[in-house]
Amino acid sequence: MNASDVVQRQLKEDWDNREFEQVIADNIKSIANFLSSFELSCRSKLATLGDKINLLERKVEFLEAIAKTTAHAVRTVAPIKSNNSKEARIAVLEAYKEFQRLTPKFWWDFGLHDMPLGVFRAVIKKQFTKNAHLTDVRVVDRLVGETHQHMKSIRYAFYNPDHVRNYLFAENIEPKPKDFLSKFLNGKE
Amino acid sequence: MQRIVRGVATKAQQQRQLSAAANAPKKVEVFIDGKKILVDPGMTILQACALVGVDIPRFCYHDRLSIAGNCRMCLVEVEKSVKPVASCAMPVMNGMKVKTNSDFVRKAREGVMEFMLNNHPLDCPICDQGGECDLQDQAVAFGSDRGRLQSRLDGKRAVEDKDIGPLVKTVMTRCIQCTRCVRFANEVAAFPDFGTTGRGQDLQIGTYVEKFFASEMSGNIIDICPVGALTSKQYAFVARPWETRKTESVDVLDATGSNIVLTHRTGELLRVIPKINDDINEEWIGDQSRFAVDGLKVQRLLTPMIRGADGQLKPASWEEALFTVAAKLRETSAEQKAAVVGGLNDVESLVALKDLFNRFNSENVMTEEEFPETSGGSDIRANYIFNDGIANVENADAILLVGTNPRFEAPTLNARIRKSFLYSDVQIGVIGSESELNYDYDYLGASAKAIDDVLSGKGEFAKTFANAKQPLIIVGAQALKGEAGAAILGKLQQLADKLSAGKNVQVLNVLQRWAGQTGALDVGYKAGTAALRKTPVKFLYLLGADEGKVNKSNLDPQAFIVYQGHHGDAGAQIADVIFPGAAYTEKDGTYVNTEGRSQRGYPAVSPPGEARVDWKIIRAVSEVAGKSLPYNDLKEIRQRLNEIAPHLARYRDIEPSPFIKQALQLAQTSGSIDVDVSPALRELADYYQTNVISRNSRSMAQAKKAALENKENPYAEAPIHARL
Repeated sequence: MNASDVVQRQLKEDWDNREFEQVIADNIKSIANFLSSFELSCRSKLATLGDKINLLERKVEFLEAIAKTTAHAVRTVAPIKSNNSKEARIAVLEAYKEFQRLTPKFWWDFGLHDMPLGVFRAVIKKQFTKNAHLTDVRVVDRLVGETHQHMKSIRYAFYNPDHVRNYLFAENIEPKPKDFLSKFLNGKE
Repeated sequence: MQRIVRGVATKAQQQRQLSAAANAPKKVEVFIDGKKILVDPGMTILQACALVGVDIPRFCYHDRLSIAGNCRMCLVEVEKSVKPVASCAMPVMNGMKVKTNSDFVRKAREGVMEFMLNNHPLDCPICDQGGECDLQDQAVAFGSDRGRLQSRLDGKRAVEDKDIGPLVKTVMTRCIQCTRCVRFANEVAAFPDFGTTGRGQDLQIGTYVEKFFASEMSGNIIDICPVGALTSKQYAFVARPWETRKTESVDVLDATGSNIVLTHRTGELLRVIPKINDDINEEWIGDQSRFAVDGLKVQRLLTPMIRGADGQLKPASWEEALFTVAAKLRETSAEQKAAVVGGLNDVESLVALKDLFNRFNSENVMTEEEFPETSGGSDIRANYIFNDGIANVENADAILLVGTNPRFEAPTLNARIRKSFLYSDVQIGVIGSESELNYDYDYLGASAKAIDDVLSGKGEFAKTFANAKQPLIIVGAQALKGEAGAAILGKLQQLADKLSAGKNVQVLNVLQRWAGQTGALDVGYKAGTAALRKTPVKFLYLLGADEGKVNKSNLDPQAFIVYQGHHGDAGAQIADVIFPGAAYTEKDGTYVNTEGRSQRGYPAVSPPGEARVDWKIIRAVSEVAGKSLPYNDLKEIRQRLNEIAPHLARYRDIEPSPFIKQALQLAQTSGSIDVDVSPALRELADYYQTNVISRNSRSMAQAKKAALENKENPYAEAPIHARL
């Protein structure tokens, strides 16, 4: 065996090794490719699945909501001031007490002494009790707010006696004609 | 009678005849701003442009008048034409390419506008046309933003104002010589004295010698004048168009039911102008419809009144008046009650009144206007309406007028007869008075006996009438009264039956005189007050009956008379209690015109003082009298109208009346018809004051005076206003 043969063989081995290495590298690459494409497809499939589940969940929620509303048949609305009718009731009672405390001054300042104070207190009470039928918390809150406004206007004398009398006793206000003949005679027809 | 020359047919007319002659006229291809359209040959460029929605500015061109082509505002560019072309006068040609908005056109319009403004005064702030002036609008849209006129060096033209009567005001300096008024006067109003003198910028419009514009349609020249040269004397310095409100309504001063626009501001009625309706009044109205509204502010009944023990009428409250009337209504027996209605009422109040009387077991409700009761009478609707429709007058080729003067009884209808007289060879025959109509006619005599001659084919007109393809008889409601009226109607029905055989026309047309009459007969009123004279009544309800057909001598000496209406006139004079009602401009109302077309009028202003809407007054009486009528508001009473006669709720439509054959079977064809059927309105002066509104109108009184003066001395030596 001469030196050239050895070199020859070594060279050939080297080539073979290189080729083998190349093949292995290629295979590794193709495996990586496959893995990445597999991952991609898995991801997309999972995503669509997730979407579908989401949709189903929403549908279930919707159906549940429908089932609930049909069971209660009431739309609950977020209250603005009082959270429930109990709170509203307390607000009304507070306003009422405050008004009754104000009443003697009101009665005196606005020259309403043609009736006894007791009667006048009853008139004020009637302003509250005439709304006893209201159940909507928001409406009650609104009326309570208006009452506070009235009390302020009374305290600061923004109102004058005529306003008060018109408001409380509907004095000086003629009822609107309702039937044909009274409308005709009033010139409303 | 003046000589009337039949004019040459207008372009539109020729084209209509052309298209009628050849069934499929070859269409011409035209390009307008690059858009291709096919139009009939003979159409003008301007009309072709209108078809594609291109609005060409114009002053002299008017749809319903002949073409003059002298304002030059409608210039457009036509390809391969060196000069701009006046589109209103130029017929279309095949393959024509028109540009309506090129620089060339804009420049041409600007030039025309500059010439026009050169001699136009700058008095817009004091001009009544301001705000509705074509010249103003088009100067803004098409004019230059600066002028080259130096009035220091060459002053503006000034023209003396003409005095053409108490209705139309002239400021001739403002005239732009479009000659629309001249063409209107000659073609529609048949007033040939109106014309032009001079030429170029010295051209003047006028009556040559100062003279009254003697026409029943004179007001329309105010509307067609594009500038403020011709304006309304009544409306002078009254309001600007942007301050006013407009209510579209229906006219009641003649029976055609012309459509009108009521202009009002702050609860005050200012003027009336026509509204276009091609089926009825085209775009004209008579002078009475236009100017008589100033009568609505005079002599009005403002508060209920009761006649006191001293015989004087004294103001009272509604309660007093209603209770007084209700008590009398209750205590009078059914056969001693009667109601008489005038001619200006809406159907709502007529229905309410009839319902009220029916509740009290009385059928004694009648109209003031007469109509035969025998011979089918008003039971058959075809007997009392204008069966062929107003628009069909234009298609007739022979017209027989019996006992009517349409010129003064229905000016807009007469304009159609005049139109067909000018543009077709319609033959017209007249039985009645030989009055001055604005067309030539064969006069057949004053007596209705002449109908016999026509029926038997005696005379030249009878022969043409018998051979006509579309014959038309127009008989005035005035001729149809009493026994003789029934006989005349019978004869005319025979004649109509003979002529209509095999043709699609009804032939017999009744021209009513009152806007409320057709409606009253439709809802079942008896025509005429003859029944009243047979048995004296003790309780009489007059609803706007002011023509003096009923007076105290016709009634029981203790008769109690209630008058409901808007003017203190003949009816209010004899009344024991007066209810102030509303005029046609003050209430919602349904009116049926002489064709049987139901139309709705709307309130422009509210009733004055304590006055109330008429049907509501009757409704209130019914409640106080203890028999309430079952309607409380407009909707409910309209429901009731619909129950009685559904055509009353079908607004704008003509309800045809098919029982014309049965009418003939019922007709009374014997009896003497040798009666004079001359209409009451024979000359212009008769036209102006025919009803309670126009009798109270100042401008109508002035116009009547001017017409009388004009008849005496047509050529004024002193200006007309000096003589008024």
